[in-house]
Amino acid sequence: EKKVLCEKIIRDINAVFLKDADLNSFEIIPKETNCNKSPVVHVEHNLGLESWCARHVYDHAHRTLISHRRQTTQQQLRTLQQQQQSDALAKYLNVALLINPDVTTFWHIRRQLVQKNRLSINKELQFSALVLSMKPKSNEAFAYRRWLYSFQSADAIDWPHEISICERAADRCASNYHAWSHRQWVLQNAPCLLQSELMRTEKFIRKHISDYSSYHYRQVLLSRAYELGYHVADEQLSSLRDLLAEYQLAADPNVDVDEALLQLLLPNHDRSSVSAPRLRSFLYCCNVAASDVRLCVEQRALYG
Amino acid sequence: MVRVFSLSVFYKGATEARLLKTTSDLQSFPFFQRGTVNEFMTFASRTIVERTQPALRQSVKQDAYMCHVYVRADNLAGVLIADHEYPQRVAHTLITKILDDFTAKVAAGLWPNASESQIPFDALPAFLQRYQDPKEADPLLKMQSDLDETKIILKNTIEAVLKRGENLEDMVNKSEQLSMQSKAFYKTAKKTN
Amino acid sequence: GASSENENETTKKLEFWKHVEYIENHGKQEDDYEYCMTEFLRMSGIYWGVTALDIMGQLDRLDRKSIIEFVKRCQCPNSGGFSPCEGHDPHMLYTLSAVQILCTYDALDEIDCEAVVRYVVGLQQPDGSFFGDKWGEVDTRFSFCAVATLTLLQRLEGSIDVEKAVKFVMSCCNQTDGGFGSKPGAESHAGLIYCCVGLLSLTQRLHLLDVDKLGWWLCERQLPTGGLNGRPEKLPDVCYSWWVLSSLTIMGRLHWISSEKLQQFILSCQDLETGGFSDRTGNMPDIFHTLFGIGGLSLLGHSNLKLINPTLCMPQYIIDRLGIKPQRLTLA
Ligand SMILES: CC(C)=CCC/C(C)=C/CC/C(C)=C/CC/C(C)=C/COP(=O)(O)OP(=O)(O)O
Repeated sequence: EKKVLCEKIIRDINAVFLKDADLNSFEIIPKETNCNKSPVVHVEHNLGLESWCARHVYDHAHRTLISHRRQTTQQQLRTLQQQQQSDALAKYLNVALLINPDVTTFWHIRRQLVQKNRLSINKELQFSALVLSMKPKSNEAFAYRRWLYSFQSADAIDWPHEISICERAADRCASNYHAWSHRQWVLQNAPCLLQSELMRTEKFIRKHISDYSSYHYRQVLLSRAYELGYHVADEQLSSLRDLLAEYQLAADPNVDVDEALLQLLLPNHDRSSVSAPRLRSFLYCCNVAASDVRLCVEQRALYG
Repeated sequence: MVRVFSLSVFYKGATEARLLKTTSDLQSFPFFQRGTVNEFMTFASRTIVERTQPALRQSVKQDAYMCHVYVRADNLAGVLIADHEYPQRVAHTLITKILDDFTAKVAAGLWPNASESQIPFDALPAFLQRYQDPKEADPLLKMQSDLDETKIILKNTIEAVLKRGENLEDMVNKSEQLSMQSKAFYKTAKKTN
Repeated sequence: GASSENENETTKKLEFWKHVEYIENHGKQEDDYEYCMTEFLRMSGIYWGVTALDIMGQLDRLDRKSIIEFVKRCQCPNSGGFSPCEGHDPHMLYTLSAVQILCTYDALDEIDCEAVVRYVVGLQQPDGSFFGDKWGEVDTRFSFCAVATLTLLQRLEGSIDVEKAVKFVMSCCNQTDGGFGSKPGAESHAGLIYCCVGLLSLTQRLHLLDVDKLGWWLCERQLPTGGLNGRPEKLPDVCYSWWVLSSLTIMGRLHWISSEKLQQFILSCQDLETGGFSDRTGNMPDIFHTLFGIGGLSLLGHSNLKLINPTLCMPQYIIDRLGIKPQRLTLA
């Protein structure tokens, strides 16, 4: 009768999936005893499963999936063509992966279903985001998202949304390696985000003072900016000038600001060999770096 | 992370601490845990106030949190619960400021008996919002440079502030302020730790 | 967990027999929830247990025959790669673990080695990197697994493009700290440094490292408790005693950290009741941290433990038996 109970719980969870297209979070609610109420709780787009049943439900879903796997390796392709079968499979996959997101094989079954058009890419993006709400460090979930996006053209993808997923995961879990790697992948694909990323990460660093991964990402942003020749039109370069002034390095007042700074920073460099935009980008990046130096000094003063 | 989770003001009576006002920001916790986390923060705040001598400041570590407490000589007490990164000096300066404001708004005669809803002081949520960013406290820090950090007592766990013979688990079990669900939650969390 | 709180007072000793018992019993709790939750990495779990026991000279406590049978059942007949457990998909990670187990048992002739080579070769990409499996995730971990697997099969030469594999790994090196991440540009991480330094050691390319810079960063992983973390601002963890220590050993810089204090930290992570090591003092033990606790102690020269090879994380006598000589830098 345990099996019957697990089946019922899995049905209940699935019903929530069907009813609520905007599920925002999943979590296991610590509760040790069965109080004869449904252990599936659904409030304001948040889904919870009580801990006392999680292990039984996982065990059941896991067994069902693996035995399905073993039976059908030969005729797998044929079986997957039946939508009904796929729906049944998806029901177990959802529950199993929400409880144990590390099982690569289960993610692979989803990939196969996507390839057969049995699961929709948008729903899958939602599902993997839900897994990340439960386990913000899940590399499998991030990798799955990258795989899903490989079927879409870059300009059809909502990149800012992807950044916000990374940021939520990074906020929930300090130095979240995979969230920051994923963010680098986003940046690689959507270089237009550079400026907003420079702003967002500064804010992030102010609030997450010991998140070293965010500092590393900022270094990446900076080298990316230089690589792309990025600069802001009438940037005053004041951070850079202030920093140089602290080292008693004053710029020559008789030439324009850019020129004076370049004389200081690259005294022996033949500037005719480098294009003007490139030099401008160089100064812009130095200025960001200088403002980061100041940021760190401020943080140190405040936090000791 | 730099985060303030809750602010509360207590009156430390002869036998127990009375909660006068409290506010919290628990957005960063999983949705279904916010209720119990809130109960525990109030429970911890009260417990520490009850075990802190008047005219004393303490900062008590508990898991991922720091509970900063100041009980004034006149028994008005303030508690700020933050994460470990929130600067201790800022926390204590803020508590002082909150208690000053509170004293200016709420007549001392009300402290020993009035209920939470009868206290005319609604500034806590705004404080909580504003000082999520410790930099906001800069002007405050400059104004109140008399705070002597060496006088803040540091404790490594709540257990360390308890009286001899007391233990946290018993207190949780006996507490009337904690719901059944929170108690169960506490046990489960402890087991999986 | 049941380790005692007072880490510093007494000098701890290795609870040798408790650990032997812990590992021996590990595979027997088949209806345990934990066992079910970790099925997806079973093959590596067995490798961790087998290796730890062998280092402790107690390999005969496990049933050689049934383990080999299990490994054989996990080889995928189509791809040639190994899955972590029947019913799961083959993956580079478990392919290396399977080959490591078979080498330890001197049983490579029980499987189709050519199929394994084909599997690994098939996952190399034009840029020299490796997929973890056919679904296309790239990571320096997989580069290491590929090169280590082929080395153990004595097929590194003439199979993959080694030059390109090295080139890809070097493209993951960070100029700021001399360390390596999972992909080009990714943050340096001690686990991935082990993978990349290990790969360079297997391909005899250690001269490509900036040993002073990287060695410095690795030494900075030691915290006042003596334990090592895997990145700045993180907590110490017993598994990093392995990832950091093995890298330093390969680079001939083991003496750059305090082994005395590290040894104390590792020993403080033993579970005195059940045996086994946890990530940190007082936490629940697991088989993964048990291998790296034992492995770390072996690198530090603890008595009663066999020598472990820092590059392949296997008993040195087995590496010698196979005639493999991963490169190591001399002390400096
Ligand atoms: C033969 C041996 C011993 C190993 C095979 C080679 C492999 C798979 C090595 C794995 C190395 C390793 C630990 C890589 C870490 C991967 C990574 C980026 C983890 C980040 O995840 P977090 O959960 O954030 O971990 P930390 O918090 O500990 O940094």
